Amino acid sequence: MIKIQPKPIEEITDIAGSYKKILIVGCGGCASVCLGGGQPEVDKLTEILNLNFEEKNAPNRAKGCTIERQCNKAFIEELENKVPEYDCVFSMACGAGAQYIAEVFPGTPVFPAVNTVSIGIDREIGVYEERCRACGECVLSYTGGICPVTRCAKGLFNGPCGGTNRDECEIGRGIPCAWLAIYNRLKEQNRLDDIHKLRAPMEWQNQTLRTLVQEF
Amino acid sequence: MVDFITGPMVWISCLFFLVGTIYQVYSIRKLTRKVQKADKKKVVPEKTDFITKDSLSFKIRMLKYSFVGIHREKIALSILFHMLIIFTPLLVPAHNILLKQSFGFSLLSLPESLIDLTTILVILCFVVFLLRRIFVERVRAISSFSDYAILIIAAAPFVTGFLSCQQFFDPRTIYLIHILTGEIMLIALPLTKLVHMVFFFFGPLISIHKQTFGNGKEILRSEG
Amino acid sequence: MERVVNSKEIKSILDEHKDKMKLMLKVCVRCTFCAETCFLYRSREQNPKYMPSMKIINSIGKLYKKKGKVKFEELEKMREIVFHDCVLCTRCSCPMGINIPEMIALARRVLRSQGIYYSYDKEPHSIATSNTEI
Repeated sequence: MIKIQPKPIEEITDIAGSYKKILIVGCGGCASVCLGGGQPEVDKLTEILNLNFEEKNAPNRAKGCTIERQCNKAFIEELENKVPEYDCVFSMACGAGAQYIAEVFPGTPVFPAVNTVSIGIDREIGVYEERCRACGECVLSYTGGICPVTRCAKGLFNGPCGGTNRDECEIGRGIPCAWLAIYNRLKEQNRLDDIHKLRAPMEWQNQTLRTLVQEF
Repeated sequence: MVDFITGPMVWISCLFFLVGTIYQVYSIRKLTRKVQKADKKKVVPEKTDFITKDSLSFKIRMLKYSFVGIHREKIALSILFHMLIIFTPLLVPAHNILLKQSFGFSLLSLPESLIDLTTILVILCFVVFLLRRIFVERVRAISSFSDYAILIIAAAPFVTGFLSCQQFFDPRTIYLIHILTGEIMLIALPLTKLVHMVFFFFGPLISIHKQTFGNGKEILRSEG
Repeated sequence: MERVVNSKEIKSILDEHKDKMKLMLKVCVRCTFCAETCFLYRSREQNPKYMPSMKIINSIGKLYKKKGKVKFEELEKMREIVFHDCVLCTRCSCPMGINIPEMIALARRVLRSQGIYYSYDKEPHSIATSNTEI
């Protein structure tokens, strides 16, 4: 599922400062599963904002609510009566959810309170590893079920670069070389022929595996 | 019949309670397995930013969202009730005299008047729980016959014990009923919902969740 | 036409998880502490039907009690509970340590085996109706 991560509080208070009534909207879908934007996080953010405002004697106040999913209009309509009462909306869903709320309520400024990080797996509660970057051209069938786009720092489609340092990626940090893993798995399954099937290159910048640990 | 209730039945119920409890512990342990925890330091290349505010005032504010914060009174009542319901029977002077007579040892005995007080408290708790079950909508919605039955099974020994101690009605009959209901409760412990007495020390202590006490080193097995 | 329920199939799925299900259903002491951990319960007028405990009692609890011998209409009702009233956000928690999401997922699996699921293309998300009845 989609993994999201709360934004630093400084950034949120900076945006929220000029609005008196703030509505924080959580999402019960992926955002909630990865401990990033469900009801508990909405409560937490609401309290942090209100505490900040109270400390500064500012009149601004935040209020929270959570809807089932923000990527579906039927659920966003639950907010129909609420949103006009507020000056701005903070969305704790992924970028898609925030954009849909902004589209449904064009008169109200909608801000993201989280960063959408990745499409990943749940290693355990609170630890999420990226597995997919939604590149739109899945090559998993040729790479033994290991995604070179996500797990190779250079997103190489056709074999490793020259920088493999023993088992590790040349960028270090203990990241294993994706192409070595692909080779090993294909060899195990007697599918090494697949590695020769060339794929058209894509343009990617240096990107590392976006793993996430949520504190709870 | 009287001889049976005061004689072999006591042994049967005690044995049943012991064996049943051990079996329940065993079956719970059978369902758990150890898990390897992910090395958070290893999987995270860089420290990430979170919404965190560690000030005391913030922690106090967040309390109202925690389990304890939402249900303060209920948890306090629950702890009081469970402590009393476990320790009152063990500290009754009459029980200890019986223990001394049969086995030659006894536990600490509290004065009669104090035991009366704790027993009344326990009975009051039962009344509160019963009223809550009947009148609070969310509790009524999930209550079934067995929930009421459990409440009555657990309450009966306390009520009859109190009556027999105060010599109400026919003391001899009440005394017999007290023994019988106590035995029924012992038998019911491993069989019914009362098994939460055992599970509480295994479930919440090992299952991984932020609102339970578990460290997540063991989880309940997903298969079988 | 009445659709036939394959009780045997349901029972075989339940049997796979029998010990755990039995334990989890048994230790639910109906304390209702789980209610506030469900955001649907909180945001939809504290309707008891959104209580996590109520959802498992009325879905998997019922299946277990009747050992899979349920009528099709009952399964339809369970479908409302486990697909519509629960979004499986996995954030509910139980002071007794019951794994509520796992139980809901098991109920979903049973329903899917009987060809009962949520068709997102055909059914509008009827929030208005979900607010009214218990």
